[in-house]
Amino acid sequence: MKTVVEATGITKVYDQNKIPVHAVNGVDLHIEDDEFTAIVGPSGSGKTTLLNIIGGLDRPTEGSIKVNGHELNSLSENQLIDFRLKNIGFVFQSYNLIPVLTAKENTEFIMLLQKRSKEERDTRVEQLLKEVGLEDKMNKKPTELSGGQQQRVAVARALASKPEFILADEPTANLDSHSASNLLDIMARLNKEEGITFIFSTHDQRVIDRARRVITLEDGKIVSDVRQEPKAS
Amino acid sequence: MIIKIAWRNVWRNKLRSLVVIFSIAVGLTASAFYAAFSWGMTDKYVENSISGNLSHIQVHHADFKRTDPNRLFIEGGPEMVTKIAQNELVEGVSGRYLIGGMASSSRAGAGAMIHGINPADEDVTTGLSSKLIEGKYFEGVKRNPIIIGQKLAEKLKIGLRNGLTLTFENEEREYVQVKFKVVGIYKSGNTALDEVNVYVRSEDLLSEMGSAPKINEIAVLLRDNNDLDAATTNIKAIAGGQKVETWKEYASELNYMISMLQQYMYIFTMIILLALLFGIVNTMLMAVLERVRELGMLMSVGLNKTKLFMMIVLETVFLAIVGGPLGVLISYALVTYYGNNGIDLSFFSQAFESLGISSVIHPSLTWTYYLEITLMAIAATIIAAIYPARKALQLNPSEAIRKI
Repeated sequence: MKTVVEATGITKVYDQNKIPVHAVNGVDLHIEDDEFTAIVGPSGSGKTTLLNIIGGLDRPTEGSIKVNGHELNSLSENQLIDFRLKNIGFVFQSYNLIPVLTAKENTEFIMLLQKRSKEERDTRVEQLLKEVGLEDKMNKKPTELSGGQQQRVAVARALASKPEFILADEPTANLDSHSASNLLDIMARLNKEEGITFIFSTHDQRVIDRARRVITLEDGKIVSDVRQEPKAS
Repeated sequence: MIIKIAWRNVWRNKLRSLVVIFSIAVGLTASAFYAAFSWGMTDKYVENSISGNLSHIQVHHADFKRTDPNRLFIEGGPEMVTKIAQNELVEGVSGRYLIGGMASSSRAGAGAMIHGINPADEDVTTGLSSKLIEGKYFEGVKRNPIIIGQKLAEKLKIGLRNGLTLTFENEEREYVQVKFKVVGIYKSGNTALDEVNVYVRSEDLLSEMGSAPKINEIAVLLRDNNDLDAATTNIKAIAGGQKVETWKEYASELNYMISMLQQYMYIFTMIILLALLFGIVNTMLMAVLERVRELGMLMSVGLNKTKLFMMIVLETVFLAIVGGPLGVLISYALVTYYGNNGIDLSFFSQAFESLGISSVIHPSLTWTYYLEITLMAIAATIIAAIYPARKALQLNPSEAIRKI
């Protein structure tokens, strides 16, 4: 097994009205290849901050973070952007698709940034949208898709860059139970069949039930880290 | 893909984009039309001044000073007039005997610039006969006919066939009074000149002074103003050591006027573009601020800062690319229409005529100016995009993505 995330003594302090707030406080964390991990905890426990640090969207105040062998603290802003482009797929709570592009174009977008050939883009986009069950919605714009469908496009987009792992921040928060279940099925299948690592931040019990590892944060600290047998959908 | 996103982003809020495009088009049209109107007015003024009074080239005695034209005669002047008239670039030549003096009627008096002329030559050179509003061109009176301006006629309270006395110094510096009879009243479109210039036959003037034919000014009208330099060289060769000047030298105020107008045009354009620039900054800033989460997502997934900057600048450039040509088309249509039909400002004709400007203006504009103004508008929009684009670059993706 390969270590994908190696965090040591991660601390993130925010200055809130000149009062230091520890969003993450001395977190040590190792995440291996092929994991389906949920980072859980109440609001304000530091889930998203930790996810942002792992994804290179934020820098820790203290501690070191190594992702796929890259020491993120040593990377410049531009190197971080390039790192994210090549190593991580993101799925956001509010889908965050580009509203002026179709499902196909949204999925293709990251591959264009990676300068992949048109042939490769076309093949992969078609395959990905098929995998998430949207082959018939390829030319629809986000406003013409339901929330669940938009989030599935977001998953396809995250996968398009062939990332080492996918970070999903509360991916089911805005979905109804049917759409959430459907999305989780897709992600679980991708994890099992294609070995894609998923790291979620969530407080959705449906996601927690499907995870094989559950890390619980409270006040910025890991209070439990358990491996479990995921429940079937 | 960045170009595609930028183009589609332009049309996300159609109304807002159309307002910006319309503003650019209106701004350009206003600038171009103002410039065309000013050019048309100046062109007409210059043309009127040259063909109606100044002519393209004037020849004087080498020591000639405009403040005292009376006694510096051009050596071999009458022969020189004949030689210059043979030049193929020349439309007309008029040899003049200019004397500053006084014109007086039985009711009033006024200063006058007396032009002793050959009526036929002067008519070809300045079209004096066509400016007559009353009477006939040196016809109807055998002895000492005079043509005066309408303004002077009003001032002296005289009309056709009335007597008028001219007082001036002869060559011996003695005051001479000569009676003339008004045979024509002209209106040149320049009231300042109409109030001063009077025209008599040079033979009448010379016989009163007991002098041989002589002239102190040769006025040359060219077929084409573009031949000014070539014609000047030719005439200088004919004129020997005499002073040969083009209208750009002796009517330097016209030249100043043209260059001043160009400055004004650019200042006016700058003001319009500056107003436009702030409007675009405001619009683009709104467009950036309402898309913070989207921009945060783009940065999160790997869109680098250069491409993000380019995307926002491109959105603005697209607005200019649509609005700019639209403005040029509208202004071209307006300038062409009014260039052909003229803008009749006869309501203000008195004010215009006192400045020597025709009351019907034909706007005109060169393609260079259209090009310049379009490039300036595109440059202004690019400058306007920089601040909003920089704002976007300052976003922190982790914070931006969570913005509601």
